[in-house]
Amino acid sequence: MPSLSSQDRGGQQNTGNDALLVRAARRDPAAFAALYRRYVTPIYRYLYSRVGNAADAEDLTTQTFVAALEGLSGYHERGSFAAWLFTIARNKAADHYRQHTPQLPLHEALDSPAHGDNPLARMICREALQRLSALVARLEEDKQELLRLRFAGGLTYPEIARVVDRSEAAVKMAVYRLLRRMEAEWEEDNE
Amino acid sequence: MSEQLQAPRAHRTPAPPRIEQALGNLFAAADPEPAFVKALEGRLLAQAHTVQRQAVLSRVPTRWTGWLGALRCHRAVAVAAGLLLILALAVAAIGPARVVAAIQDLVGYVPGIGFVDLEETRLLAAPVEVTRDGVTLRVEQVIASPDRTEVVVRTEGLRPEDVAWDSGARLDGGVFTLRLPNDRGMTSQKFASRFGEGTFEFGPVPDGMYRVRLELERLPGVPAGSGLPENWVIPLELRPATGELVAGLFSPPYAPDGAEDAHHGITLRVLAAGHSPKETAVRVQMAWADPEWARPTLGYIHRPQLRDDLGHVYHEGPMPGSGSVVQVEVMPQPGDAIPTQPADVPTEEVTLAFSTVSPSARELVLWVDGVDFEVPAEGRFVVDLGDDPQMGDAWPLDVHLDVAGFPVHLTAMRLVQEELQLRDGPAMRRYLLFTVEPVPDQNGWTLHSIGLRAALAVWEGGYGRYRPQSRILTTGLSLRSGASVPSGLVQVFVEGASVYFQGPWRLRWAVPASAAVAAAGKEPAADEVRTLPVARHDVASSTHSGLTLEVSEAVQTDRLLAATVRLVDPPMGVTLNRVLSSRPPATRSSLYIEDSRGRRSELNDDVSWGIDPLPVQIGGGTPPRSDTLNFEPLHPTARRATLHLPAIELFLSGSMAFDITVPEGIEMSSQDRFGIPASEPWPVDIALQAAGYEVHLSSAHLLGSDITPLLVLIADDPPDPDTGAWLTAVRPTSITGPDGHPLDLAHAVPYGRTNYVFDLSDPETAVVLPGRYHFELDGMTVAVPGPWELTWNLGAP
Repeated sequence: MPSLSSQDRGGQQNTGNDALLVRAARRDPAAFAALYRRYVTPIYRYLYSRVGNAADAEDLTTQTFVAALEGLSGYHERGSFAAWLFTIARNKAADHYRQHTPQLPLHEALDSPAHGDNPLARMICREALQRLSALVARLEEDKQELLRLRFAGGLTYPEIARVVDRSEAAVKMAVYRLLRRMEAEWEEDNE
Repeated sequence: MSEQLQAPRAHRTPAPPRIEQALGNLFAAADPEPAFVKALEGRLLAQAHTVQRQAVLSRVPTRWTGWLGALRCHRAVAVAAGLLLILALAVAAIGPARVVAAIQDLVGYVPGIGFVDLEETRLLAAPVEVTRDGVTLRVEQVIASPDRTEVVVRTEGLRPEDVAWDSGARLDGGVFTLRLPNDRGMTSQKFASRFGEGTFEFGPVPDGMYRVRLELERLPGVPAGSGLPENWVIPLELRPATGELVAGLFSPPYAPDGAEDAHHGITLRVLAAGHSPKETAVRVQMAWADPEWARPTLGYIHRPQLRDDLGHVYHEGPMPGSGSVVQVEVMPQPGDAIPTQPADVPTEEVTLAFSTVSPSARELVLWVDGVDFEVPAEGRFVVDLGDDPQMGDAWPLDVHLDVAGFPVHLTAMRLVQEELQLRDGPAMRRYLLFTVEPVPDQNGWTLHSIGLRAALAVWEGGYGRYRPQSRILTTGLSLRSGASVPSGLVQVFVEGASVYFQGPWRLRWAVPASAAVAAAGKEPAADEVRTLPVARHDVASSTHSGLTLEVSEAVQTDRLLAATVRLVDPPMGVTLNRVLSSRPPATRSSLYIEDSRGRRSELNDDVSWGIDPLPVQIGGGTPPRSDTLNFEPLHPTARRATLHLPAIELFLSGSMAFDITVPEGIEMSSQDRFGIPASEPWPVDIALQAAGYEVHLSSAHLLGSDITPLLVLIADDPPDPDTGAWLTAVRPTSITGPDGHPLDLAHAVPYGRTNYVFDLSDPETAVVLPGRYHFELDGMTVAVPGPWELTWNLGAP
């Protein structure tokens, strides 16, 4: 029997659970904690990639979840909760930029130890990440934003599309082209 | 001399990191502190109780919901009544402007038809037309709603005396028919016309039917015996009015017949294809004659493309591992002939995923510009590094090799090192690089990589790079970290090569009918007329800063809107190079099309219109004079489009010259803002003028490493950023070095003929000689900010 199957691994199950949790959170405040625990790390990572230091990332994460909690009654469950939450985070980051000079993204995070006690492996890993960070920093701002939402925030393409107000197909293709371009630039720089 | 070596292992250029995994690691490097997470959770919990008490006060009374539910039993009434109710509630809550936007999400409005409920209506995705004997019949729109079907038509090429339009006249039955896939015909109940556009009204098209035929014995209002074309048959493809592509529009997976092509003993064959609203999957088999070739890769300069008979070019979508997995399998039926290869012919299969093909496509071509293989190669040579080799040393060579049938001449070697600045301190990469004289193609084969290894363990892996535009190939060995540079003789072995086989391969096949048509038991007639997308010409123009842009052609299909922009009556020496997506100095895209309802269509990376990929060109050529932009398809109910164009790039023709002096003793002692090694910038003072525009170069610096030092020119921002020209590139015709010798432009201009980044290094030593470099130009490109806004109507005026 002919068949064509297409699987999206991007979290459709989470979308359904989010809707249940949102409705529950409107009645029971404790249910909001479940949403918070699910999204605090990706939100933090996304904001960290925007502002480049832990203090500001914590501050903006706090502002994001407070705003989400206060605005939960106005959220209409149309689309994705994650997209709605990340839109709030983006707006908070944009407000932050109006008052502060942006720092080099991921600057501090690369100090974090990796690969255990193997100094060569750590150096190679850190070197590669630093190069990658430089490649990312070279990109236009809207392209960096796609990468942050995808790899820091862990959003699916439909969710990213809602956040950046573009079609899913356009977002998918933009990310795909971006990754191929970065691969090519990596090869160009590879020595 | 050469020895018979064991069968060499295939060489691969060091693989790039798995970018997605690497990006995930990069962004995951920052995790919140557990203490912060816990503290914030506590705070939110406390605040949540306060918010809950406030939310109770704003709940909507439930009796309104019950009333709306009763209305839904009568759909036609419900649309109007629903609108009124939404209007009443929403105006009270959010204000008139946002009410309009909210209503637009629920219903569509088609002039001449009225409000349509988008949820249960099918439309024509884009107008189509057929021309016979100089007369064109265009179907502007089809509205298939639950209770009736309206078809809006327009004719061109008729003389006024040919037509006797009767507004509101009732027609005799049987003259105008809407034919369904099951061959049932519906006769038109009513016809209304106005200034050459008419609307037929038929009964409702049953659910799940998306392909119908409009059959006209004569054009509306044209009497019998007029001598004009009769018996028009127009196939029409409908879509859900929400714009969604549903599975019923597409064929089930199939095995194409005869979709294969062969070059260089390499046969590509399409084994299976599958269409869906998300993507189109094509399973391709590669078969080749030489069993020692390995690891084929489709596409080299360009990625494979899928083209249809309407004019669309579809590009590859996200690869597996990026969030979606596509598989297409067609199970053979008993009695089906299964294509097979002889057992000793190596084959490999790959599934390519492209953006969604238009359901209207009847024929597809898979276009592959080349296939890349790893091929065996053998050889060896010995080089002498001398007694005390140091980084930066260079030696001339005269080594001739036969690499996979290609004559390869190594002309020099050098020891190079690259210092990387890490947080723990500097780290070194060291290489022994060989300069390869450009290798000519052999019968459509291109050598682009040579695999090397050395006898000594201190030399590990290999280094390789190839620039297609200049055909410059670099190969080498890397020195193990921490090892001393060995002196004396180095025995080097060739252990493989990568070859690109030029095509193109064109694999062509017919697309079978959709599942909906198959279910109705009716295939389209073999001689059925093919409608074409409508192309409108010279539809709009706009002037800004003395420059007039025109949309010279606009093509609207169900997959895109392609707008060709040209510069009208440009000043002498000025041509349009391309349209830019952002207004300098901003980088955020502000290029889009907006319809009269405020809906935006962004640039479409999925699908382009009728563009053949250009081969990689070495050297210059006449710059383009127009630019075709591909946008996402417009909403089926859109009636007007406005192209918002933020900036354009002009090519300014003119003879110019300037000198850049590279200072003595320059070092990569600094970094640019991206952490790439760079020299300190030095000031220059160069004014460039062409075609009435002027730009000023104020500084230059070297960028990169000891391996690839590049000169970067820095231009000032224009005095008036809103109207001035921003330099984007210069086009040199010659560059002369401090020694008076001309540089090879193919080497010095690595990123295309027009650029602002140059490689002035000696190809054999990679050294940039200090001194004066003289540039001769024949033009430059500048960005001119807009905006331009070009508006045109999509249907009846």
